[in-house]
Amino acid sequence: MRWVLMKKLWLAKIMNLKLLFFANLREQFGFSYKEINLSKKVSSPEEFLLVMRNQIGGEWVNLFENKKLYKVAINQNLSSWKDHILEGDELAIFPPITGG
Amino acid sequence: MTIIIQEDSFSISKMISELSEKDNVGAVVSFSGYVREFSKERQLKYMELEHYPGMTEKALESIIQKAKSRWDIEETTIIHRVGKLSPKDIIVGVTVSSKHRSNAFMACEFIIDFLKTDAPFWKKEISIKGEVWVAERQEDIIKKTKWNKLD
Repeated sequence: MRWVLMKKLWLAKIMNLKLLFFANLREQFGFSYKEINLSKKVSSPEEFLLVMRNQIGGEWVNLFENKKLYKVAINQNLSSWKDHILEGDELAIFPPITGG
Repeated sequence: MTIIIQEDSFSISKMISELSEKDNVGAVVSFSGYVREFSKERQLKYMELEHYPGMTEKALESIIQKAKSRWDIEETTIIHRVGKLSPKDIIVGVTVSSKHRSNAFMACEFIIDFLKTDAPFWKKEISIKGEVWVAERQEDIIKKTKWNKLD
């Protein structure tokens, strides 16, 4: 019985991602860093947003629809929404940069 | 190269003298950016600067490497502040040394132009009217694009 439960849990967590939010997104979502366990494998940041929108909704609906207003970095490199992501990757989503 | 992200203030003149004391230096060019008291007619109380630790340093290193590949420069230092900043506070300092002045002039402008769009910092302005995250400036994007066209 316990083994079945463990297998179920293991199957439920297919892909792990480290998610970071900055600036207004950090404030809207109420966190700056979270480890996300996905029950479905995703191949791009865009697909990740789609899964979060469908499974969680709320703020994720707005973010998915307005993704063109935001930037994404994969493992600390500026990337595009369609770039490839892998298990364990660090995904950061933030508004355009305003330093200097 | 030296890249420092810190909350504390710093002296741009100290940054300049540190580079000028090194060997083979005929010119040091510096840029220093400050917090303005007014932004879009709103009187600023203070500003909060946030960054992405790790990626910021990597992005700045990559910008300096690009500048080094384009111009014959000696040393480069970037200091950028984060945290709470008041009007007139220094935000960023960039110093570049070279044998001859034109390389340092060009490289310094290139570095600050790319810093504005590629290094992950975000500014929030707090005024009497409330808080607002600063929007990107089209001018900054155009300035960066100009360098790309020169390639």
